[in-house]
Amino acid sequence: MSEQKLPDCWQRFAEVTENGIDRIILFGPPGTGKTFAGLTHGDVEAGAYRLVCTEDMTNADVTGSFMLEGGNFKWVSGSALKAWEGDGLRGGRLVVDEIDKAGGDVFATLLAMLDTPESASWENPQSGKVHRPKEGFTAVMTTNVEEMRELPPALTDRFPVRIRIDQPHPDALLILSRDLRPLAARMADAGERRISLRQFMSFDSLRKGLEPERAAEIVFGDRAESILDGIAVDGVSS
Amino acid sequence: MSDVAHYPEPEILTRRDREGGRWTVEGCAPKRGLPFTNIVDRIMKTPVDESDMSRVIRAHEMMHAKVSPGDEWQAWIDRKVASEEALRSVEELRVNLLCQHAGFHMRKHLSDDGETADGERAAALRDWRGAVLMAVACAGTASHKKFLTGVRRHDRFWGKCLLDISKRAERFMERAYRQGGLADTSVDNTSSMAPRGFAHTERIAEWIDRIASMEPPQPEPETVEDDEKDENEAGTTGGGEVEKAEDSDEKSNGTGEGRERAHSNIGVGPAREGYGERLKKVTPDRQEYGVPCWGVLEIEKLPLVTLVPGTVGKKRIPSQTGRNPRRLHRILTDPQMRVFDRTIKGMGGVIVLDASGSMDFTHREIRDILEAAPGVTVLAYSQRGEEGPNAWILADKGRMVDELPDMNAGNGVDLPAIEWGVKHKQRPSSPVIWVSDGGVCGPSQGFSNALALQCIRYCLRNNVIVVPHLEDALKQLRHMRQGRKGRTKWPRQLRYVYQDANGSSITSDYPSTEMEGYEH
Repeated sequence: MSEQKLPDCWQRFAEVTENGIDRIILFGPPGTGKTFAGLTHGDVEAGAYRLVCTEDMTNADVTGSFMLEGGNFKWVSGSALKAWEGDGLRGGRLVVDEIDKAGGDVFATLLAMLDTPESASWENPQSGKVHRPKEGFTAVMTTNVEEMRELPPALTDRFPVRIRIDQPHPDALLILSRDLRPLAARMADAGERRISLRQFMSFDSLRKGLEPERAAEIVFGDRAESILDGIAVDGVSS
Repeated sequence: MSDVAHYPEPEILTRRDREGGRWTVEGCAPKRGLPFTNIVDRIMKTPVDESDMSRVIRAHEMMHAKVSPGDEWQAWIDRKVASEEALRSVEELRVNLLCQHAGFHMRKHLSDDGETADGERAAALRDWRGAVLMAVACAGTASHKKFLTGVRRHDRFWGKCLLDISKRAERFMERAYRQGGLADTSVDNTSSMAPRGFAHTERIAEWIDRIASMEPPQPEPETVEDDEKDENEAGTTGGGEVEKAEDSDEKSNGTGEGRERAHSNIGVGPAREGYGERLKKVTPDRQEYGVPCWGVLEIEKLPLVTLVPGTVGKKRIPSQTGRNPRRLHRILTDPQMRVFDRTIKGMGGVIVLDASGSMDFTHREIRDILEAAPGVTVLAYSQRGEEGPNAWILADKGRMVDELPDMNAGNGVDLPAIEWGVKHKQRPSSPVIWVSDGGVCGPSQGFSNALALQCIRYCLRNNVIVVPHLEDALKQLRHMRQGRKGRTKWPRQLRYVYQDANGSSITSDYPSTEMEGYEH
C-alpha cells in the first residue's frame, strides 16, 4: 500500500471492510479496479470467488452443476457455494460483477444466496445436504450503473453500503510513470471523455519507444491532440 | 482538412483552489465573443475545427479554466484595487502569456482579423481607455499588431504609446512568470483570495487603470506630407512602421535595455512633448506583500458621557431680515437692530483618525475638535489583533468618550474606516477629514503601495480632506466654519507613493485640493 493518503472512495471501502460490513456495492465508471479491490482487499484469506453475470448464464455458475468426469457425473460447486464454504472453516468472499445483467432465474438464486446469514440456505439436489454460509462470508457487488434506483430494490436492500469508486486505487496507478498518475486518476471519471487506466498504461508503454504525439495518436485516436494540449496547459509552471 | 472535431479536455486540468469534475463542452465558430469558459458551472465553448487559430483559442479557454478566478471574480472586483474592465483585460494578457509558455503559438495564430477595424474605431472616437485596455488584452498575440495598425491609421502617436504600454505590461507579466507563481491557483493565506496568481493580474490592472484614466494624447494637426506618408504605408505595407516597431521589439525579445530604448522616441513632437516620458514614469506596484488586503471594520460604540457645549443641530440666531419680528427688544439693545430670526445649522462632518502606533493624540485634542466643530463624529481606528473591535466612535452629536480606549497598534482598516466616514457624514456637504501619516497597511501586513494608492484614489474621488496631524484637522475645521473651503495636506508617505507610481507630484496633478501656502 502506498504511503500517501487514500482517495475518499478507497478510504471508505477500507473502513467498511475493516469494520465488519459484509455486503457492499461498488459502483462507478469502469476501469477503476472495483473487481480487483473486491477480490483482494480486506479479509479474503478464506478465498475470493468471482461471478460475472450475463444474460446467458445459468444457476450452474452460481450454485453448481453435475459435470461429466471419467464417465460419471460429478457435482461441481458454483462460485456462490464455494464462497459460502470458504476454506472449510470460515466463509470466503463472493464478488459479483454486473448483477443487473443476470437473467430472472439466476437473479432470484443470487438473491437467495446473498440473503442474511440467518435466512440463506441451499439444498444440494444430489446429497440432500443443506448448505449455509459459513461465518465470515462476505459479498461485494460491482456495477457500472450510476443510479442505484436502476437496481432492483430487493437487491439494494441486501446491500446497505454503496460506495462510488471514481478513481483507480493508488496502488493500481503505481504501474504508470509518475507524471501520468494524477492524470489517470482524474480522467477515470470524466464522463464521456473518460480515459481508462488501461489506455494510460498503453500510452505510457508506447511513448517509451515512440514520440509522445505518435503514441497518443495510436492510443487516443482523434482525441490525441486535445489530450496533449490539455496536458501542456495543465503543466504550465506555477 | 478532415472533419475531425477537436473538443478540448478540461477534465485534465487541476487547480488547488477548486475540485475537479465533469465539464460540458460545446463547439462554436472561431469568432471573438463566441468562445467562453464558465469555471463555476464547468461549461466551455470553443471552436473544434482543425485550424491553427482554433487550436490556440482552445488553449486560451483551457488556460482560463486552469488559472482564472471562478466564483471569486466578484471578490476580486470588490477589492476595488482595479476596475473590472482592467482586470479582464490584463487577465487576457496573463492567459495568453501562459499559453505561449505552454508551447502554443499565440503570437502567430491568435487573431480573427477584426482587430484592425477595432483599432481604427478606438482611435477615431478618441476612446483612449478602450484602446489601452484592448491593446493590453491582445498583447502577445497576432491580434496586437493588427489592432495597432488600425490605431495608427488615425493617430500614429497613439499607436506608439499603446505599443509602449502593452509591451511594458507584457514585460511585467513575463517578470512575474520568471519569478514563479503566475499560474498559482492556491488560496492566499493572508487575504483568503484565490487563485493567488491572479494577484499579478490585479497589480498590473491597477497600473493599467491609472494609465487608461490619464488624459489621452491630444491630436496633432497633420501636415499634407504626413498624410501622404500614412496613406502610402497603409496601402503598401499595412502599417509598416508599427510592424517595424514590433519587429524590432520582438528581436530584442527580453526585458533588457535595448527593449526600453526601442520606445524612447515617444513624446517627440511639439504638441505631445513629455507625454510619453510621463507615461513611462507611471509604474505598477511592486507588491511586496503578496495579496495586500484590508481588514473588516468592527466598530465598538463606547459610552459618550461627556457633553461638549456648542451647536449640535439647528439654532436660531438674531437677524436683520425676516418675516416675523420675534426680538423686538433688540430695537433698543442691539445697535444693528436684529429683531428677526434666522436658523443656522451645525456643519457636522466626520473625522477619521488613524490611531496606529505611528500616530498620537490626546483626550484634550478630541475635545478641541468638538469645540471647533460641534456635531462632528470622530472615528478612530487601529487593528489590535486578529479579533475584536478595530474602530471606536470617540465623539458623536456633541458628546464624547470619557476615556480613550487602548489603541496605538497597527493600521489594518484605513480604507474601510474612510468609507465608513463618507457613508456616515450628516449631510452631503459635510466634510470628511482623514487624519493619518499615510503609513497604511492591512492586518499583519507591511506598508503597501497598492493599498496607499487605493486610499488616495478614494479620497480624491470623494473629496475627503487628508491631513497628517490632528492640529491640521483642527485648522481646517476652523477654516470651514468661516465658510472657507477645506484643503488637503497630503502626508509625506502618500506623496512619495503617488510620485513613485505616477512619476508626477500629487500636488501638481490635483492642485485644487492642496492646502494653501503649504511647503513640501
